Amino acid sequence: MRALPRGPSSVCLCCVSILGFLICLAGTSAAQPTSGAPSPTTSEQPNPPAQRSCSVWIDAHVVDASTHEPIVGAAVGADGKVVGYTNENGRLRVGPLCAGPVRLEATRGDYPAKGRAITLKRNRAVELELDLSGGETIKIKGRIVAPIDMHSTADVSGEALERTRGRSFSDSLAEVPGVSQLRAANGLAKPIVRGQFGRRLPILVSGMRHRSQEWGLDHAPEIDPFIADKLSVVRGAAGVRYGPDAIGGAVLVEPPTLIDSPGTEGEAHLIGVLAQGGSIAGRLKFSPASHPAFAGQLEASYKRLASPSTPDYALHNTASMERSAGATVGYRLETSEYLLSYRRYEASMGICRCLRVESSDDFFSQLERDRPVDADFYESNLDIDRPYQKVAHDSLLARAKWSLSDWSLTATSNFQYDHRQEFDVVRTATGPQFNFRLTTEDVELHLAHNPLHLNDHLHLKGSAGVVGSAQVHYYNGLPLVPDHKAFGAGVYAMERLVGHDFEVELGVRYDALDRSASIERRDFLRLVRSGQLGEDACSDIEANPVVCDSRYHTASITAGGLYQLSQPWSIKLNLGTASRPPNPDEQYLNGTSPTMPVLGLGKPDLRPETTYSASITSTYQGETFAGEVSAYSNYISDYIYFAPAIGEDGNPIFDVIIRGAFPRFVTRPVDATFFGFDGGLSYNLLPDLQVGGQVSVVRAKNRTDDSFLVFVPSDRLRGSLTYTRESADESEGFHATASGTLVARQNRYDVNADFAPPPNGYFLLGAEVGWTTKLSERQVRVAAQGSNLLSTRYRDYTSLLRYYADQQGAQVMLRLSMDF
Amino acid sequence: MIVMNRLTHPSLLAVASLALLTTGCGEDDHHDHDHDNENEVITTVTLTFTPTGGGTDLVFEFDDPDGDGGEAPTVDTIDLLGADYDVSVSFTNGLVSPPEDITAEIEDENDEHQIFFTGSAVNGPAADNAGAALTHAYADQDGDGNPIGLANTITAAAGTGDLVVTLRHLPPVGDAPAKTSTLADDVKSGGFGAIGGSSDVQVTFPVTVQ
Repeated sequence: MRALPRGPSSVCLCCVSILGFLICLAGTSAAQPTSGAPSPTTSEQPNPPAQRSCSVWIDAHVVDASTHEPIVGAAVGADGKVVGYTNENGRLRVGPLCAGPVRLEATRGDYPAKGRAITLKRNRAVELELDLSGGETIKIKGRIVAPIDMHSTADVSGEALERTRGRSFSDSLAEVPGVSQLRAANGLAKPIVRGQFGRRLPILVSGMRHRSQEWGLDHAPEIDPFIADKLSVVRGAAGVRYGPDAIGGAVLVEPPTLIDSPGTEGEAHLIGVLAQGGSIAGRLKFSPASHPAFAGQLEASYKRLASPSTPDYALHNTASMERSAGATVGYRLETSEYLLSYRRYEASMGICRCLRVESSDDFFSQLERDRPVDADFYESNLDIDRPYQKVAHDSLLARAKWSLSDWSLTATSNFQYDHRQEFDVVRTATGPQFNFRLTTEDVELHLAHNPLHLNDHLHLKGSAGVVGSAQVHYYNGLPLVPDHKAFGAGVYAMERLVGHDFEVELGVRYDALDRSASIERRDFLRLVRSGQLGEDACSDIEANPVVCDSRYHTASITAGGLYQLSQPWSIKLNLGTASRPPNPDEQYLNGTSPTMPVLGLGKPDLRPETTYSASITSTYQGETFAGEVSAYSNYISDYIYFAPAIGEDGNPIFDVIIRGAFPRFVTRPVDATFFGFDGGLSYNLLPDLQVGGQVSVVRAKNRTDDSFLVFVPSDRLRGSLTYTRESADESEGFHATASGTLVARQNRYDVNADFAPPPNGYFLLGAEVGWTTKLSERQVRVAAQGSNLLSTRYRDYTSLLRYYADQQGAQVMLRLSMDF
Repeated sequence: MIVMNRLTHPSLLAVASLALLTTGCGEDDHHDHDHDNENEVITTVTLTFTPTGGGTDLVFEFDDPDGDGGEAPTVDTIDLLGADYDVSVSFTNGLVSPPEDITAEIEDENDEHQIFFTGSAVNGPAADNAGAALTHAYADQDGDGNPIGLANTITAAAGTGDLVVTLRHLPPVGDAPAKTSTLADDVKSGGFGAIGGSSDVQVTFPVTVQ
């Protein structure tokens, strides 16, 4: 870990600390708290020698400003140079230093740097209080700061998150480098991280898997982004921490914590979208003075939007309604805490009248058109007529945590019920044509041990856990997917060695999944006749339904390292492998897809797909410049790919059904590679003026036949210019941002695997202005935000709407937020 | 048919109150395996040719008894002698027992449906193939005077080719009716991409007229 050359250390070596007392053992090698400290530059001036005494020590104590809990592993710097990391008590001895003025600073993960200027005369203790990012107040005692993730990660929280209020869950992540959107024809989207989405990109809410019909291309996550206090994107295979299907990474939704001192606080947002509608959201946190151990939180949001319009016409019948509500109660004792939380999300989303998936002839003939044939009659209104989707998601989470002297145990139970209904255009039917009901119970026991003190500067932190899940899926409607029951169990362990300027992590995980699908006999026989299923593949084929069992064993391994080259500059390396069992739809899909004019067939004997991923990330966090760039490579063996079936003559297979000849799509294992890089930077041109930029590049190939994979986002570049002015106490302020997003055409495509060539690249202009002020002691924030301000006419390669219509034109959103 | 907006009317009160927490449950919990109770599946298209000069009906079917996928459908060849015929079209869902006649539903909503006769063997309102084996004309109309296509006349003359029968469902776009008097003409000049709605059926029969 010491391969890189270092500059001269400006502080003397040595010394052992006993809290509060100072015994300087200059020259001994017993402990060298600063010898390994890196220097950012080689040109810096050592502290002036001579006259002044250079044997003064500071006992630095770094704590969370609101909880006063020690912050473990914070980087402590003296005069701009990291001299070490705090121990499990949040302490570090700094020195020996020369008497005189010195600036002491500390920073740690999501705690931005904070410093104090002091004048040293003699040995002394100095306490540094750090605020969590964005100045949020986190008041839960015993909160353990999450260790730095060895993956390439990005968070959206605080002001950045507030700027996304009023947008959908996926759009809240839109500005994270490496993230793009797979957009359904109703405008709602799911995130794509480095080319992976849906079944390969689990979403975790409060640390537990969000269970839904994530396999459908047009199934947006049933999550209200308002429930989040922080959204994090983990890029790269992360199977050990987040489950075997975290092939492409994970998206973490972290709701706010409860308050820990008696009182009430809250926030309210009112958002208007010009010509479309708006949303309202509020949250109230409270803890009664009579029972300070109790705390609670209520939240609710409602959103209603009329159909958006392209620059030329409205996207008829794409109005949407979303609403959610949640209640959380917590009870806290000295060494334990208990939490019970219930959330419900409901949404109804119209599907654009412009879609033509009923017959393949319709679909292919309208591809030639510049605009939908009946676009002249399209209007933007609040009506949600057939076809539309209606979803409801309930989640009940219970968590208990016991903290003992050397370890803490967390037990979590999460019950989720996901109900998705899709309503097609019909003549007389009244119900849904696709009706999915998924019930899941997840449990997790997580045991974390406190840092083991190997020596003064080597600490071992770790955790282990077991997970279990039980799932029942009922489906009825047009032939598509079977019912299933599934039981899963997993066990994992991770250990991390934390040194002076490096961290090394190793984790392993094993999962077993047992699933039995109940296929209606008629559907089973159709799969057999289509050649996808052997007649002997399932037990008792005379039964109705026919029950087909599968069992999978998968392993995940991760190894990561972090090296702090200097205080602002670090580098992370992550190597990982994860194996994902096939989903039921990949095994047993059997029908014409409601999103594509294809006849889709599953392959029951698919094996798990296994990814081998490597990523290297370099982060620089300076005063005027901050940036991160990450390069990655994923090889996925037996990647389960849904693509056209090719006949023995080498041509795509078409099946004649009653609505014409449909291309047959099947799931099949191929070997795939994904590689690329993404990054972001911000630079303060002037103290008030900041430029920012993000770039994302993904390359993906099917190695089995050397073709390109579909729905891989094209290269994109985003730049922004932000002017910020704040009063000294940050109670009043103004900001203005202009941003531009440039998306290239996807020139790497396989014409056989898609229906239409990719659309052209495009440029979108966005802007926001906002004011912060105090209104009778309450902070009030007002902002106006515009997207696609030039009303650029464009189609997006990763949008299912691209086959039929343009994307939305200019949109202006007004936001009023208040904290109380 | 305008489907009523079935969403609960938005109410801020409902949002602000935790009453939300108790709604939405209590939906039907029973699970039946009948795929088709809400699904207007069509498995069979039947063309009945009745010679106007008298004689036995000639019946030709496109039949896909197991629905989409699986066994390939069976398609009869329309084998005719040169003559004039009244041609009726019917649609059946054979996946339910007893089989369900969908034709009545189409008749009930005849202002939102139209059947088109196209293909190389057809000359008529929707197909411009002078000298083709079949000359088609609509023989029915809806309340607005627009053709439906459940009843037709066809004049057969020697020749071969394909007959494509398309059932188009044309729900109104907002307040604007999607079924207009020019649809057949639009299909003739621009194909099915030139009209709104969606195809519930599009089947191709080989045609031989002696």
